[in-house]
Amino acid sequence: MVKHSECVARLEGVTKTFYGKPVVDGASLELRKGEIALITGESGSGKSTIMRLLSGIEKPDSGLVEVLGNDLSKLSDKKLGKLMAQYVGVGFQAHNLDTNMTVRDNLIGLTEATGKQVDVNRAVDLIKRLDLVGRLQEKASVLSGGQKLRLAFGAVMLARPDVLMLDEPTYALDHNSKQQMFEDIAVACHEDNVSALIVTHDVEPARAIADREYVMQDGRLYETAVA
Amino acid sequence: MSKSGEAEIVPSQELAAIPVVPDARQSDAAIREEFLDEAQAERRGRLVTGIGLGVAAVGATAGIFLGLHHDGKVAVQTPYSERAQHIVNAVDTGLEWVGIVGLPASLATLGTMNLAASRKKSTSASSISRLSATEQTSIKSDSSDGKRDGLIKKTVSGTSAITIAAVATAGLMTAIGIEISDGPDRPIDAMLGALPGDELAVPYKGVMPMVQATESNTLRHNIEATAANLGVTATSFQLNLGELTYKGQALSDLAIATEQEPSSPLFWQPEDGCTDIPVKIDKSAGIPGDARVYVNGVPARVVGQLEGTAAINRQGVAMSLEALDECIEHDPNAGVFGVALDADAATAKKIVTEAKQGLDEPATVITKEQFKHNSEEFWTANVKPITNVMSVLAGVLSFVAMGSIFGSRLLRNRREIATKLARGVSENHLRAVEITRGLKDGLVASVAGGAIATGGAPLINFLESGLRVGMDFKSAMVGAAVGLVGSAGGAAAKTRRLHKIADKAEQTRF
Repeated sequence: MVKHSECVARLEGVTKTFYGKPVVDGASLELRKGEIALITGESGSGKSTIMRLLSGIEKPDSGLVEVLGNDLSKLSDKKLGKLMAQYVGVGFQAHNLDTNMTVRDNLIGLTEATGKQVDVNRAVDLIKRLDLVGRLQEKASVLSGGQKLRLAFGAVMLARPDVLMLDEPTYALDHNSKQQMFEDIAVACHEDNVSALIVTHDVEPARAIADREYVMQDGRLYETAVA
Repeated sequence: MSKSGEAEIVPSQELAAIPVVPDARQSDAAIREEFLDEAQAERRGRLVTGIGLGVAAVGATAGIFLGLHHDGKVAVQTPYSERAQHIVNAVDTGLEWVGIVGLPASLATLGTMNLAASRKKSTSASSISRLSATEQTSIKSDSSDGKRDGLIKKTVSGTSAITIAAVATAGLMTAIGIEISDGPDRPIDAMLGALPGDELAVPYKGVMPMVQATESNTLRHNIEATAANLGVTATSFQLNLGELTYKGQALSDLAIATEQEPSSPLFWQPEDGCTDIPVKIDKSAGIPGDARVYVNGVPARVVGQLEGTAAINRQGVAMSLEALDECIEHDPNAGVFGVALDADAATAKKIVTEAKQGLDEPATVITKEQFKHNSEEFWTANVKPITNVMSVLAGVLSFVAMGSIFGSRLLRNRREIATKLARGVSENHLRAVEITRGLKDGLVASVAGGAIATGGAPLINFLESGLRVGMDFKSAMVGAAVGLVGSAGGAAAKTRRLHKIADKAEQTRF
């Protein structure tokens, strides 16, 4: 296991309510440098909201949300955008791809749009590792569900994030594909010393790569050690 | 944290200890009540809507019945404003300049962006170029092999048929406006070309073919005699707006009559009678030589063809002045429209001043250019405001249509856009992508719409005799302006509040 010391993302006593109903209730969390942490829990328990708070999409009602030493509540929209663009890779459950565009355009599109240079060697590595060889000129819409998820992950990783936040990266995959996807995530993160926070309900295959696990239940976040 | 063995709870709270609050659950009765309340409200709403529509149906039927038997119209008479007319008449020139500046500027912008994108370091330009080339998602089914779109498909995809139609309409309207304003110059040029000299003795300064003007035969003969004394050639001419009939087909005509030498094929004398007067007709009427036609119901024979004398549903007809007076006007003393004088302005004025002494009749001298200018002003004032308003409406249509197309495109892709915003892609960058897309669509629409208008012009000429509508530079530029302003403007307007349409908090919640 990698030694982790530096905290790259942190929640402290965060509360978030939607329409008067508490979705996150006093949650605290820490993600350290090079660490892979899971947030698990039942559907509707609020685990995606944790990721959305950490990526600045949602603003907390109270508490501290900190990413790479930045208190997100004190950042303007512009500065938050820059922080996300430069250092954080976010993967959502869906709509990560422009399906009418080619695999190649999708792979490099995010990196370019955030003003970063595309590292061709890294792109080639990702294409091989994520099994997208020979599909570059095809539209993303014709890829299988697993290929789409891999492409979305590749597009985020090509931008060289320091912190990765993935919401259900194995959504709608079969068991073997889930395992493979988590392995791909682990390899990519360890190679680049990327810290990852993964929201998933596929607990078993995810635990195999995790350094830390948080369980979300009825808006409360509990840390649980992993084997 | 333990790294081995079973998972342990940290902190010490037991997950299972979190209670389920019974009070938070609605009872079955409460759910049932809420459900039924909703159903009752729904039924009440439908009842009111049903009754309302029934009343509307009865009202519409009564209205239609009344409408079938009455020809009234809703019209509000507003006072004429010359200032407003001047402003509207300048619209096409304004749009022309927008096209003149906008077309090369748009091409230069896209060209510069692509050149910048070709450099490895310009990631922003490369991204805008890439993202604007293809829409994020497609409403059409994808090809089975998933191959990327070809150049033509990429170029025309997303370009609205409405914008192309708006460009074509604006271009055609401008072309029609130009033809209607300038077209009457053709018969006037032909007529004036046949009259020697540059000066015209006419009753008043504003004369032109579409207004009534008559100089008495007394004044005419005085002018001719005074001119002869000074060695100046004076040629009297008469105009007549009437109807030309050939094989049952009726056309409007502008008959130009001058005195004819006996050697002329148009020569006519009273003893020839009004049964076969010789006339020349513009060849655009398609009437062959020697054909028998009727001019204002009077039988005539075609003895030759004219060229370029037709305009706006009026065919040019040339005939003898005597024949016109005797057979068409039925008045040998009808007088003339004017007398052309082959003299300088000062001499012409002197002739007219002398000729009208002792006569209680107005007469003045204008140049041939002034005569043409009068006609242009007449048509410009009468027609151009309408065609220009149509051009503006086409522009507004293009703007609204492209705005709504961009709006629906943004709505369709709002999740993809919101995802990018959430990942830190700037709103300005995404706005630039959409405006570039609009610019590209506007350029494609300008070319396609211009081509359609060019092809459509002959159709209008086919439907309206004497018309020579054609796409000229000005019309093409007005069309391009409508396409570019509508498309890029529509995109800019819709992306003004991109973060609202593609709200990242809302649109990334799946």
